[in-house]
Amino acid sequence: MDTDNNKNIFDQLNKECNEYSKAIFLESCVEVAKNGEQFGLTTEDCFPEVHCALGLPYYSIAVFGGVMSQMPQAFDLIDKSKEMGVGSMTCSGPKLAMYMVESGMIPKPNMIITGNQPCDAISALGDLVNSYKPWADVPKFYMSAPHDKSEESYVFYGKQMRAAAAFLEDILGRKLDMNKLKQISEEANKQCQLMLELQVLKSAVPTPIDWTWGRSATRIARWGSRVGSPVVTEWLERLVAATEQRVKEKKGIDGITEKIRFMWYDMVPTSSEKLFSRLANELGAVELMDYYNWGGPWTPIDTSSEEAMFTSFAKRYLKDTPMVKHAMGTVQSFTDDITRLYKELKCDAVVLGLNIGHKEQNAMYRVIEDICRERGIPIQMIGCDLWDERYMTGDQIFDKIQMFFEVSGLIK
Amino acid sequence: MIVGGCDLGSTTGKAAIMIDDKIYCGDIIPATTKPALTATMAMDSALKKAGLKSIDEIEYIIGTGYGRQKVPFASEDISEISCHGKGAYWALQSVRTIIDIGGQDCKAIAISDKGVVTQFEMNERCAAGTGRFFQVMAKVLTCGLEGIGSVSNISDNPVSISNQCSVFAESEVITLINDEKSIPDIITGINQSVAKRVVSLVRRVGIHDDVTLTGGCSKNLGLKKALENLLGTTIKPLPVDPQSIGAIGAAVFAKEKLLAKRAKELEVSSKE
Repeated sequence: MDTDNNKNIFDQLNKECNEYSKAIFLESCVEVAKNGEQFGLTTEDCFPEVHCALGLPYYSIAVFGGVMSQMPQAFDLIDKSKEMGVGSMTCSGPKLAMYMVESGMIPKPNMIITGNQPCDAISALGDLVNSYKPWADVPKFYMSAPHDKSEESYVFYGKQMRAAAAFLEDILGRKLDMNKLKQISEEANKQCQLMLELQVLKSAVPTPIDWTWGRSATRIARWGSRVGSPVVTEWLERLVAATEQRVKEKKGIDGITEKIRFMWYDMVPTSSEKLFSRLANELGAVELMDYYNWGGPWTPIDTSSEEAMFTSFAKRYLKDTPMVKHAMGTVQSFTDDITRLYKELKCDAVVLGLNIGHKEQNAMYRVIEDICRERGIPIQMIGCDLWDERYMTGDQIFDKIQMFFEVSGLIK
Repeated sequence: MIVGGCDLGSTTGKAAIMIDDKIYCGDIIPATTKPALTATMAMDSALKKAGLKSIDEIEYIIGTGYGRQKVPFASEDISEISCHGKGAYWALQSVRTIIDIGGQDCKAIAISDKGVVTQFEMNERCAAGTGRFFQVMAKVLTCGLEGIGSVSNISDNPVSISNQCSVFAESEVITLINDEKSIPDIITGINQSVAKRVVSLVRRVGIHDDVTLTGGCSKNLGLKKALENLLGTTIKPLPVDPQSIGAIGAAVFAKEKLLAKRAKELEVSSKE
């Protein structure tokens, strides 16, 4: 495969991903509402496979808030949510979604699933959704997630998920096709394996592709109502093959001389496109891992029985999903992953992004910093608002990261 | 060898020139709306102090500070964290902990016995614990920034300021004034409040003697005293203007960079 051909493949993959992502969100959030079709709303995006098997378009309102924060009117909506009385330290993504619900901007769903999310803002969003008067007649299901990690917990939550699926079945008036769910789950297993392969390939020095590819993979393979689609599997296979080719040819990111490899340990901020591009171009610092780039490993879905499938969904959500697994866990759940990924991806440094909305984890983050430093990992906590750049601009974050790299001896 | 450093901070511009090993600091220039102009004014002042006629006489200049990329005559730029570490160590080699309180941010910096920065912590966007906090308070108290620093010694019964946020603290101070609390007691309370906030940052990098204070707020004697009380140690004064430490550090870096450059050139020419 020559260089031009390789570039063409990535251009094509990018084009397809953008079209596909757009379709996922349009399909989930806009088109079905326009057409008067049934659709769901959830704060617990824990079993996309079930939604797909039921053929139920739905939107994860937290993801929706995150997507909306990229829109030009986001600041205005965030400010209006403050006027509405939402606390200034509440995570701006869910805060934005809260305003959108309260002001009638979100189409009325036919069914709602909420739960005891580890994220206080999403929990508050769930409370708001559940008490929003115009939606009082919408059937609702509340999921109770255990906050410990044990087989019993996974079995318990698997049962909760099965009950939630039954709730959806009742409203839709159709049964969940277990063969279809099995088929989707097996396809989703392949996709998760491919995402892991992509993560392994990214550990090559120089890293072959930039951070946006992991995010694209997550976006189309883990979010929305087309999870488990063979189209996504095929897209991932081509991405992995093209990336592998670059690794064989020892090619780094086009136009970047890799000097520093780092992780941004959290979801990336809205300024990340510009921020990571500046870091790569000006400092040769490439970002290798964040919550959107998460390649797992994901627990394979055991399709041997209905119960096994639901228990596997529970494991994926509670044990494998970044932020959920971390926020429901101890400090060790962070430090083990940071240490593992730091080594696996051959990182030089870790930026611990502290979202203002994660303020309840402030003390925990300090302990994480201390433990990682004891382990010899250069780490720096940088406070920001992931969804509102006005709190800390991309340029200000760049400045702090540059200082951190300089102090860590990574910039001579 | 003539080298220079220019520290373009959020509220002031500072420049230092090093001729051989002697440092000449210019006046502290209040920031204008044009960063390049502030930098030029600061450097012009340093040139005058050093007895130089033109900036062209300076062989290497490092820009630092918040606006370091806007210093038009800089050969390259280095962050203020590194420059404060370098400058403080150059001025006093026993320094291991630096507390830098500038106009809009506050930093705690740990340096090794070789003068290398090993860790730093800084505030986020919040103005609490920075010069901006004092500016807001000075305005409410109509005493000027100098007044904030000069009256702590005459306070018998400092008030407690519970709010860290400058907006809420401003309201709190207005209430205290209306309650007829004495101005020295309020000012001492303000200094203690800022000191508490700063010390929590310093604890993150560790309190290792000698501790020194840099930045514009280092001239606030009341704050210095409050910090000493909370840290349980004496803050060592620097033999140079602590507000110019960033610029001095930048000049020291400039010297090192120039020497390295010359050595490289020599190596190349000897190979040829």
